[in-house]
Amino acid sequence: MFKNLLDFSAWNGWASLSTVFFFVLFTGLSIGVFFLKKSHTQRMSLLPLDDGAATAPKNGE
Amino acid sequence: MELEKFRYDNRIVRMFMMATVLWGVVGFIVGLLIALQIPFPGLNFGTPFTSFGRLRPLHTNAVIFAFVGNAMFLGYYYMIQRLLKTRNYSDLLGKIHFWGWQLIIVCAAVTLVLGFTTAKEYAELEWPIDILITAIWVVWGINMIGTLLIRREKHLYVGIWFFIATLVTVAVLHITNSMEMPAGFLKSYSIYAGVQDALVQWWYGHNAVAFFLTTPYLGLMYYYMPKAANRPVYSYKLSIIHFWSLIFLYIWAGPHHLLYSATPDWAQSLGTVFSIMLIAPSWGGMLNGLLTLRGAWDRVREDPVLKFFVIAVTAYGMATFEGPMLSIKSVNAIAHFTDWIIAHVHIGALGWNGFMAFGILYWLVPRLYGTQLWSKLANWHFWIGTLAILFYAVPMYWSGITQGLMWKQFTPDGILQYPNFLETVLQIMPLHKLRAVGGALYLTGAVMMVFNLYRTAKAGRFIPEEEAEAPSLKSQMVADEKSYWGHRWLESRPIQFTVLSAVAILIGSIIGNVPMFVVKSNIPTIASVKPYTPLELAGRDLYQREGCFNCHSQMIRPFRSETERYGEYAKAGEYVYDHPFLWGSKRTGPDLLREGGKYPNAWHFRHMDDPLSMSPGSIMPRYPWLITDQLRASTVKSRIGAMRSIGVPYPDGYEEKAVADLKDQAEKITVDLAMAGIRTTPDREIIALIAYLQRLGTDIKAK
Repeated sequence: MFKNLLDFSAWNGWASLSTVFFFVLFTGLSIGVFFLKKSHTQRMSLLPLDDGAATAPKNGE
Repeated sequence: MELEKFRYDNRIVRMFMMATVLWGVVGFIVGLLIALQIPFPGLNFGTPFTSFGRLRPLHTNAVIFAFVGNAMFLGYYYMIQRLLKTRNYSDLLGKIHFWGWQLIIVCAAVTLVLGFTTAKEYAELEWPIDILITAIWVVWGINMIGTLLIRREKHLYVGIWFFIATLVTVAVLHITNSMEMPAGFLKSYSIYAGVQDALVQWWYGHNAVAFFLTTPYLGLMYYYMPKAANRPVYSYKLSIIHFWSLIFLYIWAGPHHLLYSATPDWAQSLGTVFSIMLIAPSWGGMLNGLLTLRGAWDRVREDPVLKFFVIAVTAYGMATFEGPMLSIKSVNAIAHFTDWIIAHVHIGALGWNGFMAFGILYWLVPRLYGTQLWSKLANWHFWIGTLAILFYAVPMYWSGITQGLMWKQFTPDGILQYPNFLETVLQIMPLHKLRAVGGALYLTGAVMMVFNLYRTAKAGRFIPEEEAEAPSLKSQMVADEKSYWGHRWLESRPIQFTVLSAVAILIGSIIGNVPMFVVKSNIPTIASVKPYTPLELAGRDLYQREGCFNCHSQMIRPFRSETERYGEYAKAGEYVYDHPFLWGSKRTGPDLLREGGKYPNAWHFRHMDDPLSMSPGSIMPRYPWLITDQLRASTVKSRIGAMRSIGVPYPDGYEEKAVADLKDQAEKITVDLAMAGIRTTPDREIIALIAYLQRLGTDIKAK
């Protein structure tokens, strides 16, 4: 089994493995993201609007 | 928490802003010129420095690396300081980055016009410039990582993730694809050959689009759209999925540029599958951008910045829908090598990159100068620019589909309806003229922008530094002692984030490329295929120098319409000594893979001197300098040596015999030309080019 895994000529296995890996990662990521705290995502979303500048013109001015 | 005071540096932003505007106009002018050269070949002016084959890479490099590149750095330097609540790590490194990048652009402009090219699309620059690019990229990288480490904001915003992915991936792509063996100061050969070279090149080429034209601009989108709309990004959660899916999937898609080529089927399938999957994250990002404007659409009516952003993101959506569609083999069979692809890339370049850059400039310049935008001319720019994109794209789609269908059309008797390639060229010339109108409009809009920005700057006063304040990172850490897991944890760890991004792009890079090098059955060798003779090699170098591959492919696909027109379809084993591969990506002229022996030497001589004399109506430029210029036979030794060192089986010591062999072969061609009434000498460049053209495809040609 390990020989097949390490044999590059069995490229199909590698590509399929990567696709499966992607979907597992994608699913895991989606679940993780789903449970992200709303306070955190809200704060992060607002980051571009708070540049900390004391002298910069405000948006829309 | 105690606030720390610091200053944002706007000088570096202004430097990149000026460079963006300057190179943008230059890139657009060259683009317009080459667009006009196709229907009006006289605009090649009969000089080597103004011929289409040399100016086309100048245009692509100017637009991609000079205009889009400078705009990307302009947006980045403003954005990263404010998102991380810190000044850039080093002002000096910023200046080295800026001047180094401009030096690269100037070197590119000079060398490309002089004919120094590696012949690899979007990677044409020769090895000394490649080294310079690497050095300057490292300088930018040190400055970026340094800035991440001295930040006052614990978590990295999504805009920064995209720049981290850009930094890492472009480095990997550039270094891998630029592996070349020098054969002189501005001459090198790719260490990869044929199919391997093609796979590496289009892994690079596609991901140059992905990680130079897309990911950094997505980073900018995530910052500047909320800024301009004064609203938070629609969904931060979606941006997380968008980012990781996009960078993981994009890197696999390169082989879709090689469908139906001599590349193994497995690589083509990999490219198709991952390209189609790519539509999901691409559209996720597009929707996230557009939905950021929810509740602010009324402002789009008034605000030119938002107008530019809306069209830019829409163009991104169109291009990223079309890309996967073009990766479907049956669509690709018609679209590849045609103007359809030109339309596709310009939707991305003119719409996505161009309009994002214009929007950012219109938003940023008034802020850099503490004033309002000088004129509503920006609205005119927007409408002229939008019209320009339509005038450009619609004729090119029409032209591309016309080409694709005419090439494949058979009569009821089963013979090609348009056997003369020139017929298909002349049919689309009115569409090329219309496309040039689009280019002229786009340039007009850009000139209006330059004027508007100039007057804006004059009306205000440049603010070199901005006072800012934020709590220190340390105090935030103390105040926020709770432990996190998952993505929130990762967002506060720049090094781990960078490493994970690298892993994400390396998986596809390795699995997509390595088997081509280690599995011999991917490239069945053909015993009759031999290395080029010294004269043919010299001719091949001239073919590269003049950029012939910009208009002529060397890849006959396994379709009856192509084998009827050009001959036997291409085999992987035919290209094993092709450093670099010269398959091309566009057929403005016919394929040349089986050109050898098709016409006599005298035909080629007269055709290169004046194409109209052999092909009435031809739009190919003249190459009179090939007739008069002397071939530098002395360089053959170093070139043979370089080729041998990368695996071409020239015998040891052949360099010493190579010049004599070159002269023998040149003499024979000269005698043959004399018999046709053409008086020339064996030491002219045209002789080498004829030798190369007559060799093409003959190794396996049925006698």
